[in-house]
Amino acid sequence: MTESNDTPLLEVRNLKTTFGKGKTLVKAVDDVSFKVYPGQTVAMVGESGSGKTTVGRTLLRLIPAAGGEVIYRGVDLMSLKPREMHPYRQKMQMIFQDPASSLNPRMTVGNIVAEPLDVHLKLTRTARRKRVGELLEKSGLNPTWLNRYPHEFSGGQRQRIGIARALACDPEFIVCDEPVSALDVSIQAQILNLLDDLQKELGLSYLFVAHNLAVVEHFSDYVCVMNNGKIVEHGDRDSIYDTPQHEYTKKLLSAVPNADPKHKNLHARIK
Amino acid sequence: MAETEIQLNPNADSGELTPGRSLWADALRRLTRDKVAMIFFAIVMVYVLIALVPLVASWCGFNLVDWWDAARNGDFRDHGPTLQNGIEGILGYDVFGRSVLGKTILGANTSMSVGFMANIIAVPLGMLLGAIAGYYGGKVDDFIVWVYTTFACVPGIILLIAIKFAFKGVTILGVDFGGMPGLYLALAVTSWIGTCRLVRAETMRLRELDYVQAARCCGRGRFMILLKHIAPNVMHIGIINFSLGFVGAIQSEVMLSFLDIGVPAGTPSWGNMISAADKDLIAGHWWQLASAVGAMFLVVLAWNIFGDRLRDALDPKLKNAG
Amino acid sequence: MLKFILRRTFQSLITVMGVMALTFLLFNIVSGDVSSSFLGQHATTQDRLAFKAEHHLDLPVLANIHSRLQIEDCSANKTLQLVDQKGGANVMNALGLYWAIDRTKPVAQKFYHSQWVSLLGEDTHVTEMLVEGVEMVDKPVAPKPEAKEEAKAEGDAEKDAEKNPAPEKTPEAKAEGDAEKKPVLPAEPVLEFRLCRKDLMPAEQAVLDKEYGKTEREKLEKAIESAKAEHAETQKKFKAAKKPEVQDALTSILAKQTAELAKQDKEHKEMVAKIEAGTYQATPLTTKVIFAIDMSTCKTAGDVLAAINANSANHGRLKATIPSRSISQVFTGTQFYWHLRQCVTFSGVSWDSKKKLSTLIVQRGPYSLALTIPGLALGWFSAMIISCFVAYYRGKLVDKLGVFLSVLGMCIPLLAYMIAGQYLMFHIRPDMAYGLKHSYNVYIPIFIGMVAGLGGSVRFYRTVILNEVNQDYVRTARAKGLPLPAILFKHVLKNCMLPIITNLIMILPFLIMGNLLLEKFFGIPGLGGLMIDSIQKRDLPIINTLTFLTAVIYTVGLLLTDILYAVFDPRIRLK
Repeated sequence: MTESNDTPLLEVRNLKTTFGKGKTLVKAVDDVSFKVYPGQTVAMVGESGSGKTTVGRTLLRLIPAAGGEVIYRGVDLMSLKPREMHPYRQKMQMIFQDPASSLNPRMTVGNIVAEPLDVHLKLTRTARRKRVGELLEKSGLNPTWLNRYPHEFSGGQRQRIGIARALACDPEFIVCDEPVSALDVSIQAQILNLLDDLQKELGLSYLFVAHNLAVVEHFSDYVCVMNNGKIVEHGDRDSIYDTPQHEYTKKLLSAVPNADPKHKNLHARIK
Repeated sequence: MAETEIQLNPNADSGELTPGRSLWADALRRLTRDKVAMIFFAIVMVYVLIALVPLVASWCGFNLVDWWDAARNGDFRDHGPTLQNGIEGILGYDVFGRSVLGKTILGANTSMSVGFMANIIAVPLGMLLGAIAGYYGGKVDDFIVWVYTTFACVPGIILLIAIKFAFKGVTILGVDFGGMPGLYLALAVTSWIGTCRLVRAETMRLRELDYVQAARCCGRGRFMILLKHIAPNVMHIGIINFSLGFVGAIQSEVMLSFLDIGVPAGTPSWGNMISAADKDLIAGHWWQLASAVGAMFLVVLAWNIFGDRLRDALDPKLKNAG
Repeated sequence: MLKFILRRTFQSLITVMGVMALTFLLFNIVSGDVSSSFLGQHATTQDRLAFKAEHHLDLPVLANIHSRLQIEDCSANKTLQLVDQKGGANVMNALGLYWAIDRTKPVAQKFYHSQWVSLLGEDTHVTEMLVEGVEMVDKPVAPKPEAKEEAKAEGDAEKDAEKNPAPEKTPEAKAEGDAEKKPVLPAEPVLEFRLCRKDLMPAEQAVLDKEYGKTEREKLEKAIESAKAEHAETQKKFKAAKKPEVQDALTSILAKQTAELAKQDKEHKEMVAKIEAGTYQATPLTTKVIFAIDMSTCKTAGDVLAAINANSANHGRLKATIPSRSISQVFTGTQFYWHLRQCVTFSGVSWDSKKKLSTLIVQRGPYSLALTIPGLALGWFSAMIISCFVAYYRGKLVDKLGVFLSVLGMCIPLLAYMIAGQYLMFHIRPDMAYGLKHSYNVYIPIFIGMVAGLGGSVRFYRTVILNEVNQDYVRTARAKGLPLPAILFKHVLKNCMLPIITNLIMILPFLIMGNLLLEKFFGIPGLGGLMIDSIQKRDLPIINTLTFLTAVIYTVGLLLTDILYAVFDPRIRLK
């Protein structure tokens, strides 16, 4: 889409994450590899429990990885010490699924949005406030609301606050962890459009985690289908949607409700 | 599309910052609208003011205890409530001819200071240890849990008596732990466990929440997360436990003073009054006992009810539980 | 499941250990000297120390690292002294013991050591004193002379030396001793460690001087007596002697002895005067200084060993070692070890009544249980009934009244209940108000215990029941048309039994301790009263073992509830 389309911004190789040990060992992410190119959106699709969220969190080292590499602009993030990871945190951000729990109820919107700024850029008071106002505006909120608290907002607005926080330090790569699945359908479209606009405007790359193929159909460039911690199928959006190969992908596609009665039997329901 | 949401706000383009209402402000509003809570809070405040009187007097260079304690002539053994000497004798006199009203008022000072001091030590301690245990987990958690289980294994009153006795005559850094400081500490040592347990559980829950993850994602250090995200969200537990612990401390003080190991002899306190009145009652001297029990009953009742309402206001999720 | 039980058991063990450590910390460390608080302020030093030695309280607290110091006399090729862990925390302490040993009274050894400890402050230990400056002095006992006259003379010389011991002369003295060959060397050298503490408090110094003066005086008096006896003998000889030359010789000896006697008498008088005036100053018992070792810089056992062994005047005669077997006593030679042992083996014997704890429990336990079990059962039962009743009418007037009354009940102090109950009984049946004259006297405390706890438990059980009532399944059952009482008693009560039973089990261990206040107030000789009395008297074995017992029962109760939960509540999974 944008320049240098051939060198990936982020490359994940054989990523593994496990929980527990001994008999109760669970391989949440098992040997997952994919690439994210600048300005692209990679969708990670699968049923709940398939490990797609864990992939996103492991990438950002919120969960320790059991193995594998995450190459970001030529640097393996997994081998960095927590201190050395610090500058990369600025460029990689995350948007969370549940807007209710992703905002600290005791902090004002301004402080929530400014948190990455406080950590990474030591701005002056006025600069910080100006920047927060810009961010709120950019994510479709009224900049005068920065003294309000999260519980005074609707779900969609809270998600916008989350987006504003993610944008604070001009990131290059954002993990969107099912950002719309907790929202009403009408709001979902708004948030997706916002994300799309921001991508075009700022040249962001997304790793878009979703359990619903329909959500990412018009949004993603590349789709990975995950099941039981493994990527069972991956490919361009068109190839996945038009000619799914794997049984699981077909199942997922068949579960997508179709609004157009004329195409009722496009994907026969597979049980 | 995004604009539609903004339009929902009528004063969207006024350009002025709209002030938000924090959860604290919400809780305060809920509390101030609760009439029962405010009535009992007023009672508590009256007690607090009474308790402050000796303190203020001592700032003015006037020792109320000495004044009240001053020797009197005559046999006061049978002086019940009387209006002859004005307000002083309204609750009668004790064996030494000292005003029971005065004793009750000075006792309020003792009780309140015990409640305050014990909890000002116990609650922050419990919160700190609970937050550390819950947030860091692992070995630290194991150790702190071990410590408080150990304390919980010893029956509270035995631990209290034991600590009070162990402190007898112990002076550390010029603080005589045989007196009031020892009592504060003994009560604190036995009452931090509840706070610690609750805060630990809450911290463990908060730790997994997305906003903590978001802060980690921003690169916040562990300590800063504890300070900025965890601490404000467990603070209400501390406040609730402070108010409930206050009652416990007042009751324990009375019990210990009854066993003659609470406040030092000569300090006016409700426990000492009950202890002294215990033998007097047979002779029909009911007024000292009645004043102490009455004073204590009222403040405990007020604190209990106010504490409950405070909990409801601060933690609305628990409301249906009570 | 088994793994879970094992792990929980292990945790419980650690907790019980924690409790023991806690009681130890509280009573043996924080509260200061146990012996003086148990025996009272006026107990004599001797008594206190005997007491301490008897109950292992003179041992180091947590770790006995250098428990045995062995000093060998290589010239005589035998072990001079084994200073073992009885002596105290470390070599410094042990040396203090050694120094204080009076060989004439070997039985009194341990008292003597501790005496020094007590003189110099119980908790500071001899260590500190010794670090500041101890000289170790090796003194040969005067060899038994062939001729009594010569011995006398030598004794005098020694006495003179005693007056002004000159440490700087020691090497020469030693050299002299060596030059004079073996006979001068004592058969059994006596080591003495002289106390040179400079900053002794005046009072302490006075006591020290007094103690010293006493021994000195006794010694001198003994010497005077023997001298007198000798004098008398010589006089007898003189009278019996016929030959003038013998008589001449004896006259000179007599004159000498008389002068000596006079001198000793004068000395004695001076000493007595000084002692009586309190001006007598402690002087070492040394008679002849052979070598002195400056231990003022010694901080560790190694330093002491080096100081003794490497002393230039020693010539390898004295050898100090710490045998390796001392390691075995690192833990077993401590107060903490004996504390644990006492708890675990349940072998506590009351210091006060000298009765075994098990006997006491058998004796007093039934009273406690007679008080607490009916109280708990009745209280629980009535609380359950009332709270069900209140929960049934939830939101109605009955409920509000019930909650209000239970809050009121919670706010009245237990003391008020007790005093009021007793007062009432005094007017109705005075003999039922106190003590255990009749077995039915126990009803009043039981009743009070029940009523006092009612408010709190009604409130608690009501909360538990209402929690359950608010569940969706109750709503479903109601929607299906089941009457509320049926739901309440068939489903709700069944479901909230678990927390209630858990709550009960948690209380059970405390039953054995009885209700401390009730027992004290109504004069019931139960375990609670025993506990309070023991704490007041600092009867440590009883406190420790009773606390230990409660902790064990409590942790076992916790373990049981955990397992109970795991077995009966399918929602909880073992982790």
